[in-house]
Amino acid sequence: MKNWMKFSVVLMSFLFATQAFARSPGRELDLDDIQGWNQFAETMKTQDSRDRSDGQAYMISGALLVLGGLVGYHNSESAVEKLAYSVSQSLGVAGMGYGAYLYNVGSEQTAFYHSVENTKSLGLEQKDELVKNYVSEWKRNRHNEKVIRLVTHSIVAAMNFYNASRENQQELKQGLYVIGGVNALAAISLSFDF
Amino acid sequence: MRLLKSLILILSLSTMAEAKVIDKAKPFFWNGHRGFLTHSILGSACSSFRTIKNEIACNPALLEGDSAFAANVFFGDDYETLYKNRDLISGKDKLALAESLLSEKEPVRFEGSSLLWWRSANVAVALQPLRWTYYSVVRNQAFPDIAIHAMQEQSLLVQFSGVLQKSLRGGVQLRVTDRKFVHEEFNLFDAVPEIEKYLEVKKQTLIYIEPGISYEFLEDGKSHAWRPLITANLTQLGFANRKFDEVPLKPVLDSGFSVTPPVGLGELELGLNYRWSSDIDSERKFRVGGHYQLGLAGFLAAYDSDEWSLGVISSFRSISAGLLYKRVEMKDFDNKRIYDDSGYVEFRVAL
Repeated sequence: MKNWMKFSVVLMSFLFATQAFARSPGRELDLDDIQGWNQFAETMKTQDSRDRSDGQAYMISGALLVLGGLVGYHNSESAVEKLAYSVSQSLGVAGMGYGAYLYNVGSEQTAFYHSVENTKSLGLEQKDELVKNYVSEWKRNRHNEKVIRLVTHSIVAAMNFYNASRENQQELKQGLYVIGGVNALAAISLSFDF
Repeated sequence: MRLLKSLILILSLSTMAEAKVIDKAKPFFWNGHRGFLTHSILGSACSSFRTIKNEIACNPALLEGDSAFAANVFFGDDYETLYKNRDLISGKDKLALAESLLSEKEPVRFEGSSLLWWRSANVAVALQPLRWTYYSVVRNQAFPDIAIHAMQEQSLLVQFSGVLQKSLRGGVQLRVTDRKFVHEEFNLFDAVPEIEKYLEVKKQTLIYIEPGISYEFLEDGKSHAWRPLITANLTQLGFANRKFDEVPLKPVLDSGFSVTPPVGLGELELGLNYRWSSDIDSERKFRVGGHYQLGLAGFLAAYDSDEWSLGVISSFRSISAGLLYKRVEMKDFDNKRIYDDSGYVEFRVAL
């Protein structure tokens, strides 16, 4: 394998690793239109059943990918195919874990839903107020998360552009410009959400 | 009059007899492949599939769903071919390159690309900084005939889609492509004195306008359980700043049908497509394909009279990796059937 190809493979692996763990676990529900408890409870019931079914699908498909990856990896002679099998296996393991999480824990809102649902002393008015506060907090956190991601991508882009501008080795220079460009575009894309 | 008809017949027969081997290879060179594994497996059948989500749509009418922004690379396992491609296009020592082709015992076929893309529910933009295609076949190494194709392409595309009527959707794709290529066939000994001329790099800029429509059959105004859909997609419709005989620039029509039979777990879609090409007879054919999405794994398969493909793509959160195996039937110098078996990989990072 040529040097620049090795460099690309390492670079891609690094990008995969950083991206894989860059986001918080758990499924995100869109709560933008939730107005009160009844609407929230209805959404959560549908979601509970979806989480269990999706959890099973993720566990089964994850296991298939791990098994298929094991067989494929040891029967392939191509370095890039081995890399693809290896990434698929890792995704399979992560997917099985995610499936088990979905099946047993559910979405980020599940714990809040069950806590409120099981507190019998709360009336509808109080539940409505709790849900409104929860949704408002959720929106604020989502906004903050976007700002953090925007700043992170912008700094990574600037850092890579700077390093690229000072790099003499042509292939490394191009690679750094590509990473810089990708992160700059990610930052621009996130800025459209505000 | 009879003489004229005979002359025309002789002329057309001689043209057919001289059809180049390089043109008998599947014209994957010119189809503007966007570098998705799913598109490569399903081929023409892709234009009627809805379960391929979070990608640039094959048929712009089917662009709908969540926003996504991602970068991906797609390439064949014979990636060492990239160097030959680069050397051929960059104009290095072409005689040395032609000689190195002689070591090839089997036809070599390669395709690869990188892509940066963004999509929302109704608009998509994709920048393809580089797409490579390569094909070479050598006959009789003692007195070698060589057929060779190498191309580097850069393109930018924009897709728009929308609902025209309740279950009728329409879309259009605008694509600008800049390409450099070598696409020749010659006897090496005859060509040696003027090898630079035979391996001359040609350049071309093209603008394509590629519309598509889809219609879903409803049951009492609601989606049917199997969601039957018919589609049509017109591609390769455009203009070029310079025309070359070897580059087809005539419309290709894909008309397809797909259904999503309900399954207990996951999502299944089956489709059938008929491709009609005004230019290439061998491209007029049916292709059948299937896609089963279960959790994070997507299983795909497709078949037509010249090719079958099988693949799996795994996607979890922001990362995807996929593999595909493809067998393509082609014709060599003696019109004998030859088969190219190749593996392709795709890696994708969503941003």
